[in-house]
Amino acid sequence: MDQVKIQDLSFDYQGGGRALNRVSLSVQQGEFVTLCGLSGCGKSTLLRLMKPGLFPQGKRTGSVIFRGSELPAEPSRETAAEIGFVMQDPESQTVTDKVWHELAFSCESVGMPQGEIRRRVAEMAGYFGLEKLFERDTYTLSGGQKQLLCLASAAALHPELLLLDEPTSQLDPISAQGFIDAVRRLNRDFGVTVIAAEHRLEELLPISDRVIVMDRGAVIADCPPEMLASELPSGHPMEYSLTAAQRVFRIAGGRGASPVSVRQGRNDPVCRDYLAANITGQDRSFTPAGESIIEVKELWAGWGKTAPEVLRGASLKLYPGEIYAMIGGNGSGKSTLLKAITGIVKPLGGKIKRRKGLNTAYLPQNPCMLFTHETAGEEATEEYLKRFGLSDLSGRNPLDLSGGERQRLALAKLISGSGGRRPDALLLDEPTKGMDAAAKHDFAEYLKALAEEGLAVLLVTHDTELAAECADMCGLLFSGEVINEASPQEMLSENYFYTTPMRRLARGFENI
Amino acid sequence: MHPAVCFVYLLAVIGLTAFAGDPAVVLESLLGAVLLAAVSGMSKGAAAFAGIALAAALANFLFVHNGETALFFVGDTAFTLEALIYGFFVGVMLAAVCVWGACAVRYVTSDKYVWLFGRIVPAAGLTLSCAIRFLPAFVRRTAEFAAVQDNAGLPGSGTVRGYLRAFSASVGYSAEQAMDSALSMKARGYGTARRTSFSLYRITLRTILAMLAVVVTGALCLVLTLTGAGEFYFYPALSEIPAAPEDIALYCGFGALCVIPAAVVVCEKIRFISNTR
Repeated sequence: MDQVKIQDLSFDYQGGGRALNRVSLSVQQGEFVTLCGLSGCGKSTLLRLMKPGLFPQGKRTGSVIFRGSELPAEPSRETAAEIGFVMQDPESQTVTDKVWHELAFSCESVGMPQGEIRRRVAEMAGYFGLEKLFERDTYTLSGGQKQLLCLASAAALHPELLLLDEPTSQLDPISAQGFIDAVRRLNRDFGVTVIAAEHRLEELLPISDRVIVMDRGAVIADCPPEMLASELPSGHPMEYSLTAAQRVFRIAGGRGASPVSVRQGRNDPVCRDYLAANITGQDRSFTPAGESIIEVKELWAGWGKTAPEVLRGASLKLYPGEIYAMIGGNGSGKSTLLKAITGIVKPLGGKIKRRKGLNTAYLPQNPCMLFTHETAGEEATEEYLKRFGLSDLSGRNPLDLSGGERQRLALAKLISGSGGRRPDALLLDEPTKGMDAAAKHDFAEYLKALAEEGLAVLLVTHDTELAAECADMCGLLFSGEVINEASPQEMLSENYFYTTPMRRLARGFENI
Repeated sequence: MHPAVCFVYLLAVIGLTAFAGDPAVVLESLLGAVLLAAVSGMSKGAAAFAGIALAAALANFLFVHNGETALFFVGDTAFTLEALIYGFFVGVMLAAVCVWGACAVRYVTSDKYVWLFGRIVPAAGLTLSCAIRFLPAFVRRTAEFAAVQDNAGLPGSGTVRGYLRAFSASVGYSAEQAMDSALSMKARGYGTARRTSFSLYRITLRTILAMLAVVVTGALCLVLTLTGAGEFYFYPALSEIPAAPEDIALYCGFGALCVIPAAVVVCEKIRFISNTR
């Protein structure tokens, strides 16, 4: 029997703008469904229309049937428990100050008695491996831990349907994988139906039963993951989001069922033949023009006297016109490095040599920190708004923009400069966090264009695909030191883990 | 320790200290509090509390001229022994209450307040819990906003104006986040039923024993005080410290009450050491 049946669902936001256009689909009990599409394609709206209490404001036609009856707009105790929902931002989703209280929150809300809450909370803490964190303050948790906590809190109500709205978009790859694994276990161990909206298809598609692609409010593909490579219209921007194996299969002109995971791709004759024939050692070489503008020598820095140093002798040079991508794991000191160069964190030792009169601009992980005006139009000059494709949004509040738009607006603001002076170097912290693959690709293009004009860019990122796409130089930061520097081609083809899925797929095939 | 015990204890000990009016009781209270602070490794701020006691004594001595035993005269004004002693008494009382307060901050953690208010009105407990999470997060966020915006060279950097700009940006952002938090609460069933209030604290035998000890000694002292034990007069002349059986009972009872927490802490430390060995 269909657990969820959506028929002819359309939705218009108040003040115009069609978000959903005659969507019809059904989901079986226990299915794992990935919902994808570019930012603003309507996936969030669709998910929220399946969760009473979270319906967006606007005009709705059509029906959403859950287990045989139409879902009401107002939540009841039953629907609150049966349908779990996890959102994007781990920070704002956390409501209380203690981990145990956060876990118990959903049970308290539906009025469960003490004894039962105690049992469920203990059970969930055990299942999700949160025992050690149980009595901690929530603010001491990492983003990944908070997100797992949100999932556990929803799971404590024993839901039958779990709706996930880009739950890993703010997480680093390792935490994201941890979260996805936890969702998969819920699905496998308890038969919880999962509908996950995500940009991270590489990890999600191999474990999904079905994938639904949306575009401008309509479903354009609804098929098993292995059929997506053939079903997706050619030239569609969602191409960038496909898994590496699917992309190769598509380029190679394969028809029918495609490989999805890296493992399947490496065993697939179509992919193997294509990769063996087409891998070329093309190297985008970069020769620095003139003197370095920033030189970091043996830098030591940390977060105060009591905490251990995060950076322990990191060195690097940045040249005009260069895009330098620093990759590395969590806590390796990537963000601290940028903050030390900008001067927000005081170095404890070592030297930072900056060219005289150098003007640097720092874009923090959360671009909202830079916004001080009511509308996007006031944040940056018209010239740069236009250049970054934001002209149409100038009347909007910066906080209402999507992740990718916020990043572009922050970039436009920084490049507009203070007092009309353009920066010589851009320091970007995790700029593609939460962007869909197409937006990432655009962002990389903007960066390349800026570098052509002589701007130096230093970016720290988990996103190896971004590094592969636009960087001239790659550094690997490990335990506070830059342990390796090389061109991205060299670095990513030699690395086993810090590399793109495409490289993993193609490893060793050039010798066939 | 169960929050109920903590709150009843604090109420008893601070109440008795403040209203007893007997120097011996107040001194016992101070000693108990200092003992607890000492075994908890809290020596900071001792000088400040001593300062409070001295300042109170001096102020009373300078401005209050009641009492029979004049120490010296300035013009027609008598500076009396009684005023000096009474000042000391008040000072010691203040210091005792302050040290108990400092210990309370250490031992009555936020979740205990949440428990207390959650008992009375579940929504109040939740609000408190949210506030405890939000306020420090907001302060950290605002500082970070200010650092980043100053670094970007926005107008007014490094000045009060710059800080206000960061503050208003941080408020706007926090409001945006709060809307998300509200959705997250709704998603987890907030408002669908009458809330219950969960807490980690359970009533165990230990809790009951501790509660009994506190209630019995506290009630004993209260009854004795109300029936006139430990009466002491500062004015017009100092009376003698009373030593009738009921007074001795009060001193012993209150003394016991005051050392309970220190004893509990010491016992736990001993158990911890012997367990880890």
